Amino acid sequence: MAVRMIRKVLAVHLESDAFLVCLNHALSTEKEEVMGLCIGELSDDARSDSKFIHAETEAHAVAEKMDATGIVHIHSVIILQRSDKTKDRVEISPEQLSAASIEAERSAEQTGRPLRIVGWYHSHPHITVWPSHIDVHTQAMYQMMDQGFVGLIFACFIEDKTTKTGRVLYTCFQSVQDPKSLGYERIEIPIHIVPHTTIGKACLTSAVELPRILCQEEQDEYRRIHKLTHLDSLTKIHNGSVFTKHLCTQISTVCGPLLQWLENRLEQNQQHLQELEQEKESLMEELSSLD
Amino acid sequence: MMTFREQLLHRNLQTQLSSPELVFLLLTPSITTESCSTHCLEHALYKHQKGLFHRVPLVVANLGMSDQLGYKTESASCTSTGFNKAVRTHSSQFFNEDGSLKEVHKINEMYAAIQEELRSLCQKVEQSEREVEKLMTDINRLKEARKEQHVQTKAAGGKTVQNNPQENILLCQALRTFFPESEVLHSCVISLKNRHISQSGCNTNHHLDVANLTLMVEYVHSPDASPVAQLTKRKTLDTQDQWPVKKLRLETETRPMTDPRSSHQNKTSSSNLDIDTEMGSTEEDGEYPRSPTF
Repeated sequence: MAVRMIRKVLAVHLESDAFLVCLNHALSTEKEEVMGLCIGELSDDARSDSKFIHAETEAHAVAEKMDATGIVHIHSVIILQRSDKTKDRVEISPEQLSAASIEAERSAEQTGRPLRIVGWYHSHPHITVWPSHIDVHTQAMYQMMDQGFVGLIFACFIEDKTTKTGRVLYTCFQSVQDPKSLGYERIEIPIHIVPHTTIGKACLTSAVELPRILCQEEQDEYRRIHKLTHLDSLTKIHNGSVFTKHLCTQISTVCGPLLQWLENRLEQNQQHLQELEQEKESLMEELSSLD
Repeated sequence: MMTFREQLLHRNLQTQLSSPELVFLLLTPSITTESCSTHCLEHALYKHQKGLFHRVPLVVANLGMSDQLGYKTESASCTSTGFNKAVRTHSSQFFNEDGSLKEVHKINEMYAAIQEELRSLCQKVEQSEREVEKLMTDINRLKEARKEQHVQTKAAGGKTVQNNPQENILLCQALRTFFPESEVLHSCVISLKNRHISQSGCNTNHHLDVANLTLMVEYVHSPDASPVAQLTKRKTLDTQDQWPVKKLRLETETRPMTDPRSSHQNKTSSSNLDIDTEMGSTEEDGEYPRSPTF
């Protein structure tokens, strides 16, 4: 009997600072979907577990035994620029995947860990958290390159007007072939947020990348409009004002709060540093007195 | 829901911080699915008012908000030092010394220039309207005077004089098109009422297409058809001051033609012309023929 080893993702562990960047990105706009890539590593958990034995169809008469199970650790995320902003669709280009891979390799060199692209995330503003059939198909395509690839979705701007309660939902999934049809279906992957007291360098860099990416998207859009030769001067002035207005909105909605958060965080860390220094000193004194 | 402990804590904080507008943000995480694949984070804002805690709507400010379209009456509060420093440094490029915006000045100036153009053009149009009105009044007056004069002349039994007789330009164009070489036919100008207007010929090209005159009938070759078209004379309307040139007869040719225009030109190469006669179709024998239109 033929046995085939298939790596299956047991669970996803998402670092809390990476989670913060994802959430901040998803909440940046309720008009369009946003997207990014997850950087991390897959840890092998090589153990045989009968509950993961999965049988192929009877016609093939092949039993598959999933010996390798793994946990995907997501350490950081890369926010991606959109070439086409839509409210119900996102697309990651091969160039973006390639650039993200290079970035992951750089992070791997810096940290000494085998970091690579392990998944993708995108937002669902005002819609259900469950992946659409396009999302499931896209995930299946990624899994053809890497079976450990996972997908995350953040559903936000969902409000219960009666109870005046807002909701943010997030889910993790992979795709499997549907035996009944030629298509794919979603399988749920457990996801856990790993608490972190500090914020990693990669996450901080990604967080401050958001305004730069938003500005770049706006500049690209403005340049595309400005290149239209049939527009008269008045229309061009109007478009210039629209560009200024959009940038002002980005500055006040994203940059301002981000700066404020960083300054608060810095102040908090400086206070914390003082407390830690004092604690360290008293511990050292205590240790030296014990000697 | 806020617990009792949280409510007490909130009221104490309100007192301690002397902040009656203090709000309480409650974040409630939960796991939605059994497999722990999907999680939910609920958020609700509470405000203490008149002894009770009320939920207030919490709006997450973002780039897709629709209220960004109009004028803002409130600023987004930002206490960030770096933010305010950057904005202050570059403000001078947008604002004048008196606090007004440069861009607003520019667009106002352009708008004023457009309004000035409108005003100036409006004046000119108004002037032209008055001129038109005056002329129309004058013309109406003259027409009235002419009408009166016609009536007087008729009443007196005198010969009405045709003022400003109009040239029969269709006739003129037809003669030029079909008889370009005939000086005789171009030697004078005929009016619509078949009167002599001028002894000298008309040198104007009226740019009229005479190819489809009803006088001109497309020749269709048919063994049964008579080679000679039926000609009937048209009754002239007025016998006075007729064209002094002897009427010539127009003869149709028997060879088949495909292009109506070329057939007409070929037909007019004949030296005979009878303007007052028309050709009728062999199929229309016995029917009253249509008069040629000029």
